[in-house]
Amino acid sequence: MIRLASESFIPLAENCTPLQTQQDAKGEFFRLVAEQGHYAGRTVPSPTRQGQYAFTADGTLLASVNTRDAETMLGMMHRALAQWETRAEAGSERDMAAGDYERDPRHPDRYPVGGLVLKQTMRDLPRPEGHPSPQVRPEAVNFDYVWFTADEVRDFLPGSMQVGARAELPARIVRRLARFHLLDSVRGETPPWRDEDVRSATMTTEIVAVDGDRVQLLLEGAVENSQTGTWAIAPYQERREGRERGYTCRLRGELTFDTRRGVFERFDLLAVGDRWGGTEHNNRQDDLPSSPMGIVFQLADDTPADRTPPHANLRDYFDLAAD
Amino acid sequence: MTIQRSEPLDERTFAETIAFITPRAEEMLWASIPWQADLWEAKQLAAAQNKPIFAWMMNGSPLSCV
Repeated sequence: MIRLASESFIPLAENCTPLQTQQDAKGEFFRLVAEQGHYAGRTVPSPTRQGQYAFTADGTLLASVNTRDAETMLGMMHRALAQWETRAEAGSERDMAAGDYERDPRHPDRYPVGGLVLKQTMRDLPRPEGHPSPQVRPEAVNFDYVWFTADEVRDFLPGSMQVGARAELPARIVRRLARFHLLDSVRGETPPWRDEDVRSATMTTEIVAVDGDRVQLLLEGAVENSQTGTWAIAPYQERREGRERGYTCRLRGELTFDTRRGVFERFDLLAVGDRWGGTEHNNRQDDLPSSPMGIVFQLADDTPADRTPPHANLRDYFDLAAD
Repeated sequence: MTIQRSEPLDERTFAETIAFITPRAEEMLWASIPWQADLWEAKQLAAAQNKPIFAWMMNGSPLSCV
């Protein structure tokens, strides 16, 4: 399947939620494809159009399915390629590339050119013997991306580049990490914390070494997030009062900043602590007690996949005023 | 080895815990696929290379937090 996706197709993975309503050529193109597919016209139980689609550059659907089963997906890919060969043999017109398009202003490209892009990895840590909820999914791991603008990169640095100089990171950095990234999404997505759910959050950096243009910093911090309220802890389950969830953690980061180029050469940040509770899509309904969880943030590569936006709503993420 | 609740978050526990959380190569085979992350760019590439598109579309990017 990996070879087939890599060699016979242009592989794409993207969030379809905005595309289901986005008012521009890209959104219209997605809907053209999706409305030929497995959920065409469906509104109940949800209007989702998620799944796997194979199609041509002019928007002709070749095959589609929504599955987690590898054999089913592989079958869809083979059916699509057979359809593709038929089109080619029939002398179908060569698909034409489209140029730029005017983006829906509600969905601008906010990729932080010249800023800091981190890849986040989260996983449960081993549980002590006798833990009330034995680990049943040790393989579970999940990812996200963290964006800071070029302007925000400076926030990580003390005013002076001398050993011992310290900086208390400002709220826009600390709250973004706490609300949108210090979350229990190990087994599936979970909503961000509301601002008031961040009970306490502090992060500081200190310069620990200077070697020419390279400045080494130690980042330390602690965050307490918790929420009580009314929500479901499994899809389509009843919402109940008195639900709880939380993540309390301590943080350590080892960073190297190149003062000449103005970029981080190393950014390794670790959060370790305890999560508890569950939400509708994070698959903790049988694993509610407090248990250890770790989150790593490291510099992202520069591939197309590494331009994937953070999972959060970017308007909230960058604390932008509503239109 | 990973950090225990009572241990300090020092150089040793930092490195060991990062190593534990970081996925092993066999867990990341799916990431070896040269995924595009933008439908419009994939459409242009498909036209230029005369290939069909295989799109994995979820409510939340499959490459991040779903």
